[in-house]
Amino acid sequence: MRFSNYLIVSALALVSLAGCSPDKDVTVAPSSDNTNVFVLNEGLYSATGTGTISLFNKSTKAVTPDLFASVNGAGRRLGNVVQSMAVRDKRGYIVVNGANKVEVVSLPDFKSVGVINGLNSPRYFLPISTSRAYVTQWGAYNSAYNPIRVGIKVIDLITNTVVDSIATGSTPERLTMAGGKVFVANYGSNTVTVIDPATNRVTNTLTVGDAPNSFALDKNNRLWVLCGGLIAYNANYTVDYAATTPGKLVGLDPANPAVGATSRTFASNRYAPTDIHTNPAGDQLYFRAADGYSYLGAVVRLGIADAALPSLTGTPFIDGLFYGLGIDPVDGTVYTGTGTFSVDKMTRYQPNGTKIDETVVGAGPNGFVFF
Amino acid sequence: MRCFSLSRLAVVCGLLAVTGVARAQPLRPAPPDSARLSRRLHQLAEVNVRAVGPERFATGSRHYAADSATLSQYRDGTVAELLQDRTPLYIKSYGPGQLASISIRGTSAQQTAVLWNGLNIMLPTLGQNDFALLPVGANTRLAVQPGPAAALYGSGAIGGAVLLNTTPDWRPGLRGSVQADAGSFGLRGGSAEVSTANAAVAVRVAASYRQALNNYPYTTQEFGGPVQRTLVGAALRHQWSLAPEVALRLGPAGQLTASAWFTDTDREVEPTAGLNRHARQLDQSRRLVLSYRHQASARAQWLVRAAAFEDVLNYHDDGITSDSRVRTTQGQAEYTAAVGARGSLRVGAEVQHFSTTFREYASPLTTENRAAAFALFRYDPQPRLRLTANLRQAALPQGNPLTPTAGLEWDLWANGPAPDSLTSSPTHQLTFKASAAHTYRAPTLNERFFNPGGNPNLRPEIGLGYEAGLLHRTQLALRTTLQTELTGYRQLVDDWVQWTPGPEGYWRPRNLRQVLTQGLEASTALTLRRGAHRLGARAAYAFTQARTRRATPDDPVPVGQPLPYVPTHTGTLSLDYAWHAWRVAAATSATSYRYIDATARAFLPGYGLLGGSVGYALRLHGAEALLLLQGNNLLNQAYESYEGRPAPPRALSVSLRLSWR
Repeated sequence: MRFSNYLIVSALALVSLAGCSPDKDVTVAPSSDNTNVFVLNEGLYSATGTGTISLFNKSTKAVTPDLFASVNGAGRRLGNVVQSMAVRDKRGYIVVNGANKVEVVSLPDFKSVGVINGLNSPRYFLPISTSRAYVTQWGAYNSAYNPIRVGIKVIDLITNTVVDSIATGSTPERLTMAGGKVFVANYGSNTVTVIDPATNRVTNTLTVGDAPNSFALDKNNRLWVLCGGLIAYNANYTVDYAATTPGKLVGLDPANPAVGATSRTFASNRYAPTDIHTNPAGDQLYFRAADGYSYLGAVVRLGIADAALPSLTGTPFIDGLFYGLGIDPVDGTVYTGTGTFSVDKMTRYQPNGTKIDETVVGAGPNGFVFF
Repeated sequence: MRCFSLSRLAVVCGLLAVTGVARAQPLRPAPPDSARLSRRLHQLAEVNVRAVGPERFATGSRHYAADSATLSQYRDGTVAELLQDRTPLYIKSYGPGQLASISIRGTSAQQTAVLWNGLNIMLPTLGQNDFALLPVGANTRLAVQPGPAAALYGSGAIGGAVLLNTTPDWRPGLRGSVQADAGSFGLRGGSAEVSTANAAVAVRVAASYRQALNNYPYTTQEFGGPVQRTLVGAALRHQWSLAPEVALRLGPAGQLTASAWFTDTDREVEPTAGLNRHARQLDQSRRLVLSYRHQASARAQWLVRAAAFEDVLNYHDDGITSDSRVRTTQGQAEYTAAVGARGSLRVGAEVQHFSTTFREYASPLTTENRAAAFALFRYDPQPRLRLTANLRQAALPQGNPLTPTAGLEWDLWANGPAPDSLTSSPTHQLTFKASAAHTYRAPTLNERFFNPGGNPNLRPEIGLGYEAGLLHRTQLALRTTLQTELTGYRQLVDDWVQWTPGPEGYWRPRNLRQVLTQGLEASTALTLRRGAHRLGARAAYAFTQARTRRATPDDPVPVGQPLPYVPTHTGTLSLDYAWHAWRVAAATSATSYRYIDATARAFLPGYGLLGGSVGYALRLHGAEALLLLQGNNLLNQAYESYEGRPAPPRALSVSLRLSWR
């Protein structure tokens, strides 16, 4: 064989080898019978990766690792840090924190139907009507390192554009609608901003505990506000427990939040109670006792009528280092996600805490959406 | 017999061609016959203080060195660019001038030792090198030895070792060159090199400068279709390198060499799409080596080296300031002697002291000491059979690994005179090579002392690897040689360090993992000189597998998982051709898909790249002006070597070099 032919054959062989790709994972199409669990994976810790959403089918247990790319093409990435997802009128709104956008998909097929830009470090999304939604955002820093553009952006869901802003307290996190009002947890302070969605006006600012992070509405329509406590850090970002405040659980009447609120303080400041959920019956509350440095922690439970708060340092309801928590609104199955940002797993438990099964999902699963 | 040998060659070639098993590496046109070299080794008196390189004790291992034409072509580039274009090693690059880390034989970036003039220059905090911070032109030699080789190169040589060297040029007279470069996306650069020598002193100074805006276009897939963007925040603001060297002959038997290498790189750190934190990174390294080589007798020499390094890495962005400074002092002494008529022995020891100022460590000033002693033995029972047995005993803060190596080269058959002789009759030589080695990597300072998470009790990573292969060398015609090499290897790395979250509440490195790497490497190189034609053509291919082997309760990664960023197939093809004053070079490389996450689900697709250059050299009274037009990614492939970091599109550059002697 001539050397030139030899080179050409080698070149062709190399190119063909380089051209091959692994077999695509079989895409499990989202179904229309309420068996879909969308697992929100923040994405690789390195901050260069992209977040994903894994689809878990409750009946078949089949998983599609990256549903958005599988449906919309491998070149379409959700982007850096998939923070949260909200659903309204067969539309899914995926908040991508680092990429400063909200991707809009149709449900259940997950086809990309829009994007909302013009956001700055968005966190959580709350549709308030068929045509309007609120997004909390942490904003940015100006040249003097003062935070700017902190608050809520009002979204027109018809045009998928930002149409208005509402000022809130520092670093607004989750938000919820209860009693016809919108409650916003100002994580960077000790307040909850109350907004009238009809006028987009702030009607009240409630003082709760340090670092409110999430809400749950129980069967008696009592709104529980979970406050993690102010986490003080040492210079090397480890937690300074001498200055860290313990968490609080505040209960209030959303119709008349200023009257009759209760506030209980957790005994230990070692873990920050985070990410509260109710069971379908609305009589049990679940949250994570998160470490202030790693944000990982075990699942803790309490009944809405329990006189005492559970211990954060004792035996938890479900032991583990969890990054994400979700409760199936149909059967109360507890979903947890690990936070290794390597090979992460979703583990399911019966409502009594007995483990059912575990499934590998994307990196950093921080929440679950049931559809 | 000749028919037989040719048919065997044809079978080998055919197999290589059909399976694409062809790997080109930067090989010297015709490496000297190591059998003859080994005979020369035992008569040290005939040369004046000739250095005996450690590769002399690396029989049975692959070794490839960039030839002078390649070094010359890349002299204003970085080691990352040269290895990326010319070898099938996978360089994980964040972009031009940005972080570029290496993976040899499926191992991690920390598992490749990088030595400069025989001393380890891996950044002690991170335990790895950013190959974009190593300008090629400062060095006169660049070689890679894949495979475990701690006995020779110390900590980190698990996947292999990258060997950079400067050698004094004792040719009398003054010679030098200056070069200026300009290219796409704001690339500007230049270099100068001057060397002079008389009977007693040899001096060489090499300096280079480079900057680049890297404001190239790239396309992202977004809602509504593809969107073209321009990369921002990825500029190479400046990169300086200055490498002076003075060598003194002290009497008939001594040589004192003082070498220094200063690099200073200031670059923006490329943001992830949509997230510009205005990150800047300043990397400065100052390296000084003083070495004295003494020819004690015709059959023995000794060498002592003392080195002082300082590495600065300062990172700043909108929220984070992280400044670190490491000072490393190293000492080495070795004694090499002939043993009988057929053996040679080297014994030596080295000590290293690290002293770090880094706010992220528990103590403001952190120190660590490491030491090692080694014995290298080579024995050639007959010219066609060459054996080595090496041993290194390291003393580390946590664990004292003992790493033996054994190697063998056996010329299975040869017909005709040695392949590099000047006869025109076809000659063949087929050599069998095999080696087995224990190797180790000392935990990095970050792994031990980072606060929080640093684990002072980490054990060194340990590797046990084997390789075997065939080397075929033939002279097809006068001044036409073909060298083909095929190697298979397998290595088990244990106590592989992984950062995982734990009950302490933070990520912490642990000796969790066991990884099995195995693969095949094939290469073939043709060199031809006929009249005014000079041709070098190389093809290289690597098949690489790296998978986790053992499940531990703490390790979330299950058994059998392929490691991320290890492409299964990589290959390069390169051609260097000169005719009278013309120079033409072409290099293609192909890289198959790589998984990018620990679950081996997400991957980046494979890509193929084509680059090349055309040059014209004008000679005038001992001076030469070379005008070179270079192109990279000529097929304008959109690809990512690292997820979320778009690689540059087609880019052109022009260089003018004036050299004289």
